[in-house]
Amino acid sequence: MQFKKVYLVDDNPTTLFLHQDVVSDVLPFSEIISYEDSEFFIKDFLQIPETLKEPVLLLLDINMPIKTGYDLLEELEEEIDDLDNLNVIMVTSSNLRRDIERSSRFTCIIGYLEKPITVNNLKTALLGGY
Amino acid sequence: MQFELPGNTHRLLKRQVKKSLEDDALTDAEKLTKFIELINESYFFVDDERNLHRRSDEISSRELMEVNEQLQSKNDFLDSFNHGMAHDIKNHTSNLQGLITMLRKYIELGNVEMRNKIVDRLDLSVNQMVSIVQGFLYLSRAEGKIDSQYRIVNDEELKTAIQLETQYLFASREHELNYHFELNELFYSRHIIKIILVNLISNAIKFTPLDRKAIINVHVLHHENEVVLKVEDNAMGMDLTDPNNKIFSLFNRTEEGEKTKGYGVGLFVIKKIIDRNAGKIDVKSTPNIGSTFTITLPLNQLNK
Repeated sequence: MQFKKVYLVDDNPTTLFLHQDVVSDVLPFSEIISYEDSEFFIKDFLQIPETLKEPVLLLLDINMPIKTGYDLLEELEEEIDDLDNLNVIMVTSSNLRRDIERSSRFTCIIGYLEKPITVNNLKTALLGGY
Repeated sequence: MQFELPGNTHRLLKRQVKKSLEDDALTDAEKLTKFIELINESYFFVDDERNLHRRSDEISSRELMEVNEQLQSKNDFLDSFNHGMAHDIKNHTSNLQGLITMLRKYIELGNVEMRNKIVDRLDLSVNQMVSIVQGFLYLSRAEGKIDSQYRIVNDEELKTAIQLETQYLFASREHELNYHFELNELFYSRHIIKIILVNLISNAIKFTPLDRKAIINVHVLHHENEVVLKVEDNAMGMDLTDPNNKIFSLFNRTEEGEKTKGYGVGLFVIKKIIDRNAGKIDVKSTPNIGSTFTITLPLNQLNK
């Protein structure tokens, strides 16, 4: 799958630094936009309604202060009617299984990755495997 | 006429019965009446004794329950503490692993600029890990021996100790950290004060929006019978009237890490330390303006 834009949301700048590198290896033609603060992401994302006219990838950290990744998805669901073009990969540092069980209701989630993400497991997740 | 006394009769009763039976002034009928009266009385003794036993059973099972509850809460604390710590450490080790993979790649590509950038990041990550592990050591001490380490608190020492453990959080942020100490020969555990302040300061910086200069005022005041720790921030604040307030639910959190949500274990640990030292915590907060945490610890606890 190709994405024009890839959004990275994680409260840790070093994690973002790493994810940028891995994503640019796997999806060299995508524009990568990073957010350390989930509020800024939501603000920007809602301001540009045409963003979701094309498939968009979001690598979303589950465990963040203030808002979790799931809180963020819930907010997007409330604000945006059509999320068909949003593809989310949830990224977590631990307890992967428990996180997966908790989140089956979000249809926009296409995969899960345990940190640190690598070129190979990002590719696998994009092909639909966990 | 001979009467055999039942073996279980109270020893005192037995003596009384024997005495009355040997009293020649009484007729057999009178002896029998007396005997029946004494047996009757003995039932009351037995009843009393049974009640006494029951009560002591109740008391010991209540004590057991109390001890059990204490153990349970300690266990819950250790559980969520472990979960929070493991989570923090896992995050940093993941970053270290990722950075090393990335470093290999750029060494192979001969990209010196990227290589140097990665080494800087590695340095930062390792330092963050070191402060987490240090915090871990201090906190595990908080559950044990920490209470006994009382001495005169020196403001320069306290400042240095706090700065050492929070500087990595401030490294990339515009900030103003103001100390206001009125220690007046305060005799207390520097560790307790430091752990509370480091956690409150860390939270303050973590919850300050990135586009805002973080202004944090730290007060340590020595009043007659208490020490007052106050940390004011201009972070995002919170709505204390909201029953779902996450920061407060953390105070009461017992179930394993489910609600941790990146808050770490800071406030939870603070609450534990305050409870142990018979202190109080007061929180004032306005959404988007900031919060003030005030902790009061009595000094007379020292004599316990």
